[in-house]
Amino acid sequence: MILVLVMLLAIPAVAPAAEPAALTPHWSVEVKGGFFYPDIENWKDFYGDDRTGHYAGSLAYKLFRQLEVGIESGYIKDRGRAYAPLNALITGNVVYEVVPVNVFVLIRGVFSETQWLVPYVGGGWTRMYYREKIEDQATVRGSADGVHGRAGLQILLDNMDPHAAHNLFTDYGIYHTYLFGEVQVMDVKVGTPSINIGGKSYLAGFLFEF
Amino acid sequence: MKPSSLHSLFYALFTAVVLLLPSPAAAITRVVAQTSGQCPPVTATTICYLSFQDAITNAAASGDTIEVLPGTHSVVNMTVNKSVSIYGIETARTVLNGGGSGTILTISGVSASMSIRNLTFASAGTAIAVQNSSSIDIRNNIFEAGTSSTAISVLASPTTRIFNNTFYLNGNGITSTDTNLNIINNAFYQISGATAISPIVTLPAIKNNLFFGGTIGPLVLTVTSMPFSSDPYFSNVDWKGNISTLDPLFVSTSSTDVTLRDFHLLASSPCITAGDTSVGSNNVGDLSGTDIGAYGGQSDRIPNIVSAVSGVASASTGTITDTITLSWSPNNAYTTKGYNVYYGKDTSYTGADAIVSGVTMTSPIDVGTAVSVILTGLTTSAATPSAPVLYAPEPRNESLVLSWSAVPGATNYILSYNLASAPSITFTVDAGKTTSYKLAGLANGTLYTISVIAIAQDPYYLAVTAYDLASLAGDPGVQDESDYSVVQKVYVGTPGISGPSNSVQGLPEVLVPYPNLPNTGCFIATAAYGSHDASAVRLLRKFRDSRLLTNGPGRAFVRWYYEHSPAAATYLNEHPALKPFVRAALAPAVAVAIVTTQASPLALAMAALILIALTALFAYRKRSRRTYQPLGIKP
Repeated sequence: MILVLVMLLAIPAVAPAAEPAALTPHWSVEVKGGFFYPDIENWKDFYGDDRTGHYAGSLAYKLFRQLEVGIESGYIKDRGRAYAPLNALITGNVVYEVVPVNVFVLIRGVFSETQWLVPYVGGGWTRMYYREKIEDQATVRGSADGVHGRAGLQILLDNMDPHAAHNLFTDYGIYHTYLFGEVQVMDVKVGTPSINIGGKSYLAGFLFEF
Repeated sequence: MKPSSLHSLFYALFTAVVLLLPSPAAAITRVVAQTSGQCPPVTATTICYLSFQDAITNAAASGDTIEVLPGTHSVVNMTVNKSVSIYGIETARTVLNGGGSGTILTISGVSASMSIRNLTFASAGTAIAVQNSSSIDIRNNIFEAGTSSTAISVLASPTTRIFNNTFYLNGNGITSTDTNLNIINNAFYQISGATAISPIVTLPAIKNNLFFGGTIGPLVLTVTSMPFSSDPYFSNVDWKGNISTLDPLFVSTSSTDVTLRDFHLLASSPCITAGDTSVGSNNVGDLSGTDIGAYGGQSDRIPNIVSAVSGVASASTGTITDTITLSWSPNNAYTTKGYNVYYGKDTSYTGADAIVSGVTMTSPIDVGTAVSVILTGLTTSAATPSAPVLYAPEPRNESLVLSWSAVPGATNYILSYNLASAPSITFTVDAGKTTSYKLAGLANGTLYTISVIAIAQDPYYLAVTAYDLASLAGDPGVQDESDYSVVQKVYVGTPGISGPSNSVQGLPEVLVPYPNLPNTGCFIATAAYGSHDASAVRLLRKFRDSRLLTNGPGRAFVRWYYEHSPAAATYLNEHPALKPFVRAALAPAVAVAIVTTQASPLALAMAALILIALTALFAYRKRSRRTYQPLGIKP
């Protein structure tokens, strides 16, 4: 299985890529969405599910084809309940929002501009802004620093429809379009004793190189 | 063959021919409604449609009539090429809306006579375009096409008659290529610079119109747009019966809702009987003359709906409430002659038990021109409802969320609560008809005991109509009487009261979000004092919770502070040298927090006295300085 994957990575696409694919773009933008699994115990008791939506976008610059640096911002939101300690009840409404801002370095396993599958791995610094809107009470807000790591696989779409890829280049200057899936892990500790408000995200999206 | 036989044969043949000839199709009234519930019963001559387009383009034949029921109908770029007369049931509330562009109605190639009347045309590039037609009457309509739009455009249709319409704030009132249109008895209320009629047409055809430039500018007319022989500016010229510069004095144009504007005339309007009677005398108001505007001449004969109606129940004997005071805003149209009050135990308004001024009156009650009436002696027989079941309360910050089971027949619920430590002092709250309620204004950490009772009372339903002809009253919204006002539902009579529900106890408290994260960097005080747990910060927090979050202005301040404090706190943390100054600046706030959250009432009174004394001393010293300085003497 691994051997097959390595072969796939190494073999350039059979179909000729769109004309601009021969060039090596530096910039890329990605938009993605998926699920965020908070690394907080008993999350499900308060929010009804062990996951919530995670939407993000990033801008990256490729120093060279295998190494890129960038910045990413996301948005995570869930609606749940609060805790009434004197009554020992889960009650009241809370809107929990998190905005992670990641600065990252990414290593991509790309050896050809027409390579079908591109694995990547990376990580970096995270600043997590949080806000908790509590029914009838003041909003809690703050931020904390942490780290994150991410790994995924990009699938080059240009070869599936070279005509469309060509149009994307001529109309918008987009050299390559990838569909990708990734796993992202954030570790951001807050308070004493500390709570990790990070977690694990499973994301999918599109990446445009220009 | 005998002559008599020939005669018989001829008669038989003639009869056969007559019977075999197709009979002329009967004219059909095609009703346009917004909902099927509005539709009248379908007959051989009455068919109902839920679309204006279906009624006109898909069904109508020459000779039919299109009856548009009240409501706002979206009509865009509709072409009529058959002689079908189109009329609304009530001018003000029967709106053809063009959606802001295009032409609402285009009358094209119609040579037989037809009319368009009693409609309000709103929001269009052009409201009505008449092309290559003849004998078209456009009358008793309201045009509000828009300040950059045209109300009526006439092209190669020389015998078009436009009379008794109201043009309100259109870019162009009437544009035409023809020279002998009849433009009579119209009220043009235009903004300054807008054109009432363009281009010039034969002088005798424009008569008895009113032109007014609104409140923005002096006048809409220009010497090239109107055939006045002398300068019409500010001159109130009365030429061919046309009137300029005078406000038509409509009843009300203030509402932003086109259906709530009332273009009927006030009693002092210059439009009253100022019209030309050749197009018909008024059918309401002054029957001997003709008014200018949409409600002059042969108008729709339905007054506008009475507005701002309120019905309030009041107790007349002890706790038994059998009296309703009903009041409403007057309908100021000069044609309004009085009001009918409809009442009953449902909206069929068949009440017969109300006493007005000592006389039992059956619904509807004609109250003349009065704008309020007191109904007494209203009888009800509400059954005693069963007790509701009160569920365990949900705690909130300084409040409890309560819910209970619905009780059949209950019209409202009364909550009773007291501090568990002081059961003899009970407070009550009318929760209305809902089965949940947030009991606010409670003290955190204090145990409350709550119960609820159900109340059942019978309602009376009341509505008011205006009429312009008393003898025909009793048919709201059809003729000479407005449609019903907004219905008032008022509960009266001896209430049926349930026993109390089960009692529950609740403990309000500050909720803790999950996860319980620190409120970092958001408070200037935290930054200035260096710790979230500093005593001064705790005092300010207590002041926030007990004095600010308990009232609207306080909550607004807290919201504002939370929005703006992070940046200041961040700046303070980055410039720690400023912290002593900020602490000094916060000292008065901390002092106020100490006084208001820690001090006893006696101490508060003492503090107030000291503050007053200091203020007086300061004022005295300042006044003394002013006295001495002019004399050069130092105080």
